[in-house]
Amino acid sequence: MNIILRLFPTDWRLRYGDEFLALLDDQPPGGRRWLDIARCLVAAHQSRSAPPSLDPTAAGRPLALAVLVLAAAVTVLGAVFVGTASHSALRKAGELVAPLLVIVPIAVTVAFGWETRRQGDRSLRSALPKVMVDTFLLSVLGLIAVATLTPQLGFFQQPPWVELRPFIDVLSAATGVERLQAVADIAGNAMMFVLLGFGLALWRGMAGAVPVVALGVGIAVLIEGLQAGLGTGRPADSTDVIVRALGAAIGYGVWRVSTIGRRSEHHVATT
Amino acid sequence: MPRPTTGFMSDGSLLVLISLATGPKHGYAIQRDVAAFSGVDLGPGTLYVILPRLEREGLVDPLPADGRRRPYRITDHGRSMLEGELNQARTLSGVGLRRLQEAQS
Repeated sequence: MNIILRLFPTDWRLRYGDEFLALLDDQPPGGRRWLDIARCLVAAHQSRSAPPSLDPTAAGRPLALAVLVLAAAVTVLGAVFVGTASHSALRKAGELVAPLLVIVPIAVTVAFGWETRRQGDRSLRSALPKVMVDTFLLSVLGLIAVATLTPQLGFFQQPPWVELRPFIDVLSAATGVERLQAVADIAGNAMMFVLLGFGLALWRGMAGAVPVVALGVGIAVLIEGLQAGLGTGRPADSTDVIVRALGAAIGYGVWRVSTIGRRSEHHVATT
Repeated sequence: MPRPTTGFMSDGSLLVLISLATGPKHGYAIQRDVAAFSGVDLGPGTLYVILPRLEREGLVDPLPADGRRRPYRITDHGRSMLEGELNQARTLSGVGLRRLQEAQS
């Protein structure tokens, strides 16, 4: 019987599906019923206006709003970071490209939201949360690119190298200030990847923890390769990969906790 | 005089509203009630063409689901619409029956 419901429009199915199936369970089976149900199917597709929602707080509107606010915050952080960068040829190029990485996704979302309001289109509106997730993810990736790939000052002439000893910066720090600097770098790295893990979970969280964290680690490794390969004056550091993997896992965990109790609802919406 | 009917009552909506006039009912209860008082067999599909439309027009309200079944209640607007339709039907049937009798005598 569930197969029949799949033929109905999503709006109709979400609003009337359960009670309609319950009613069908009460019916004696018979050939005439199929014609009757087919008539209902046609009417459901013909009726232009969407059925009124029983529960306007459903559909994850608060979540979508939170994502937009986070995306905006990430954009501002990225802009501040770029704004405080010092001069050098590569850094200049980074300054030009980096803002686009964070500003373009936000502009897309704002334009999309405006278009949705203007048209009052229901299907557009229902796509908004997804667009916000994409934007959030692009913004976080933009921030990470800006924060990790802009060249390190003073290390310009240094050839690329690989640092396999984890946490060597903290362990070998000569002064308290250096140690603090190393810990701050690690904390910043972790925080960016908590955001990334959360964004990836929003994007493809249904796939489970392993694919999300694996994707996060993949991005972390790619960044380390680029850092060494592009001559940014930074090593390909094992510390960063470890910290980022942890960050991505924490981000996934945050998403997981935030969706408890919403899971079943989400399932209905995607089936 | 009630406003002239636009035909929306002709498809079983009237039967559903009459059924709900005695109190809230879920789909299966409406079917049994309608069959009992009118002999009409409303299929589940037909019923779920009618109920969403009555809901959109503000003539019935959905109530919180009782298990998987959801009861519906007639609204005040639905009640006055039903009364108007039934009054017009009474007027029409009075005129029609009188004319039949006059033709025979």
